[in-house]
Amino acid sequence: MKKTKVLAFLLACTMSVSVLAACSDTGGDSSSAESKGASQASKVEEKSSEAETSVEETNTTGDYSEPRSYTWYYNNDWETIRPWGNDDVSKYLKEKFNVDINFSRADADYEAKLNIMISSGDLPDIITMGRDANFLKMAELGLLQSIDPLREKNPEFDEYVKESTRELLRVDGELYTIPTWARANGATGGNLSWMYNKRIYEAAGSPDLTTFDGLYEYAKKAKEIGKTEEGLDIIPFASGTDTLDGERILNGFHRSMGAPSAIYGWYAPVDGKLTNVFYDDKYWRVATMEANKWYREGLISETNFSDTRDQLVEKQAAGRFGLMYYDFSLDDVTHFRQILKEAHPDDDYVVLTDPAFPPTNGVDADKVYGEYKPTSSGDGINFTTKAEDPQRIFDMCTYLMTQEGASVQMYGPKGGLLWDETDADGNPILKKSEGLLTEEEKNQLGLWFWMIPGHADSVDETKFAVNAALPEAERSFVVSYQADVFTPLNFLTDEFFGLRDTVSPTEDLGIKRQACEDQIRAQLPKIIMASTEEEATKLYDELVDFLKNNGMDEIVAKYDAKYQENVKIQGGTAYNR
Amino acid sequence: MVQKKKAGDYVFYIVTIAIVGAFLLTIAYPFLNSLAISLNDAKDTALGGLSIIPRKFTLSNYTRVFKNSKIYQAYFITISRTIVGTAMGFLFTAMLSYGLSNKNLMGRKFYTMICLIPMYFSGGIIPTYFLMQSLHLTNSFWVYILPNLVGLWNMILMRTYFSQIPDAMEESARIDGANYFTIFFKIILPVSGTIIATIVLYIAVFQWNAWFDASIYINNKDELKPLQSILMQIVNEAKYAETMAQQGMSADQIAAAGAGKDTNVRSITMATMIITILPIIVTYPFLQKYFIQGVMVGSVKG
Repeated sequence: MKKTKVLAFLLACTMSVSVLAACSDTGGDSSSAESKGASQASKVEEKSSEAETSVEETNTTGDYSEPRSYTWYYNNDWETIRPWGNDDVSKYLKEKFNVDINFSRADADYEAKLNIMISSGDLPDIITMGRDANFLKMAELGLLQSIDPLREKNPEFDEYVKESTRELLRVDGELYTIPTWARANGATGGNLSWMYNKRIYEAAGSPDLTTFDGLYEYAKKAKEIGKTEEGLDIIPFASGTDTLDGERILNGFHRSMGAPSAIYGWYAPVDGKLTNVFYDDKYWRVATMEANKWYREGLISETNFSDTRDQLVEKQAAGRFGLMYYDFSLDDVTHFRQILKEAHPDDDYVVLTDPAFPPTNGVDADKVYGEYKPTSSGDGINFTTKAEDPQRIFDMCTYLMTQEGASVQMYGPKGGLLWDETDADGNPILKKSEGLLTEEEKNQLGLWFWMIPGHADSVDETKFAVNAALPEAERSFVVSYQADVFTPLNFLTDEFFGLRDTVSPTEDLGIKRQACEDQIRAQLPKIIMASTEEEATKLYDELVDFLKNNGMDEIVAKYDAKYQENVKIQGGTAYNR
Repeated sequence: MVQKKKAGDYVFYIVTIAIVGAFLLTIAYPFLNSLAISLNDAKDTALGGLSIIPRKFTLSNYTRVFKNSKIYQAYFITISRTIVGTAMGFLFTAMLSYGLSNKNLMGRKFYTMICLIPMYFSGGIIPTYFLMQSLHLTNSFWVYILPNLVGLWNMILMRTYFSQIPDAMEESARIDGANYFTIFFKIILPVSGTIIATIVLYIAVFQWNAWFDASIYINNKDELKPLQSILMQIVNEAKYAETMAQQGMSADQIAAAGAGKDTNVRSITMATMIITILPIIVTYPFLQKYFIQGVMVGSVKG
């Protein structure tokens, strides 16, 4: 009995030791994740110089006879992934470039996933990511391939991504990124607008909406009317829920004062210097107090800052909003206007057009700035050092930025369900309106899904031309407004590029910045919803004090330095009316 | 002897039933609401006002979900990992517990200590990932099974239960010449119905709900992702606009990214959620009896 006990114990010991031995096999150089990362990086740097020479040897621009396969990873947790080659558009691209791509993204917690990929060396060939701290870290560690050699073989890229944009995208002189939504020539598009509900507007006597005071009077009349025809409460003014902290409302009020654009993240150029908007007593304070006034008079609902998107669409579809400052292009996504018109055929949401952004007292209509558009947000497609022969994907991305590529992305391949020929300008002539396609047909075609990258100029110009060629009844509400009203009001500027990168989120100042932004987000709705003007002023001043005591002055100084640099490179600011 | 019911007793019953009924309603309502949304037409749901009865009954949400081929594969993976993971996990945990419950085991205190330490400390995500990578378990089905073979908390529960089984049963079998394996399978397990049901349920629910290990260890192989990962993907895709706004993206970027997306995501999410929960809800009532007994197990000795 004792013998078996001793033997069993020895067996258990042997098994434990063998388990520990298995660990130590690879445990030698993994004493800490960072040292592994560092040793990985040095190995990778050696490899990348080798990789560059091998890339030049295997470059195959124009010759796509050899099939290639790649793994493509999206560094976020919200991208929809569809299998490559299943729908018409991706099948067309797959055959044209002879590539097979395996797309993936993190299910959740993409930061952790990216860190694991970097530490373990299990990188995908291609990563689509924003220009954030992780991107800069990967560039520093030498995990990305430069795309300059690829540009030399395919110079068409340079027509769509201008020199100035390329300079902005460089990290330490090296260009790694193909921008996912670049612009070259025009600031096309348009999203934010004032709109009113037709039935409520007519019930209010169709008042004049060419000035900001006109909007105010209309909202008050809508409040007096009280209830819609179906007996539901009217909400005189709402701003949508994509930003839940009051920024959207103030964006509208601020713009109408003739102020330069405030970029999200609470900064704006005032008198040529970039500053935090809460330091700006000329425009932002006035706009905030105005919003507070509207709230105190019952023109803004208490749930304006907490409604989910579904709740918002529900209210929109019931025609309960008298006036909105909202992203009208979301009609293509949520169909709020279509659902409203199905339930009430005589109702509508009408976008203000002349002027689109009614000015406040004493401000000229042409001093009001439309939306600004950067030539690139910095988000883009990067090739890691794992990618062999990235030229193929580079060529595909360049193709997708051309007018022909944009046509394929939006309307399917030539000879498919929607178009066979192009007109004199190269725009497809639609055989059938997009709106008449069924859900299954749209999914089978894969329209609008493969904008991986998309080029804003090509997409928008083609979209506008095709829309204009349709008979009036079939034209898209969103596209017509974008083409006719908002594109002429927008302007291109890169003066705000890379401001956020001047402060790293992990350093002390970055943590303070996060604290400031969280405080602003928490306090701004309270300021707008204050019950008296004194309270609103008090809360506003408290917020300014908080910002001053938490490093905002330093942050603003850094931002301003970069801003002045950008303005100098650009040759001037766009806000010079 | 049967006591006559006084008026006070009736009041007590009524109040109890009312409170418990209200509680039941608050718990059941969200579930019934989700069920109603999944059975309702998507555009009609957007008009709001739906409670527990669908207004425009339709099965189209479910047909759309089942048309997505990812769901079948994900279902298959989830069911496989639940069955295989539970069976193997239970077996190994039980064997370890039985071994540790034997008072004559040499080095028992030492083993117990080794088992208790990982309950409080773990290596962290990156070292664990390196371990899986070196064992070639990444991108493989076995990463769901092998690391989860022994659950230490379950092991302690079972060990306590096994130590309560009278020694006499074991000794009588030993006299008849049985070795430890025979005793384990033929004497101990048949007597331990309660703890078996409890532990099997714990492990099965864990395996059914697990998604984090899939998201970390499986790269580029969507055919190995379980049902919960697919649901998580759908839910996160539905929240894209809010996420993008928080990251400070401009309106046109949000719109450009959103242009290709489905619009009736809420109905699809609800339908997927119901599909995921249904098997568990259907199985639970049968095991409930054992579950209630099993919770108290390991707490009372003698």
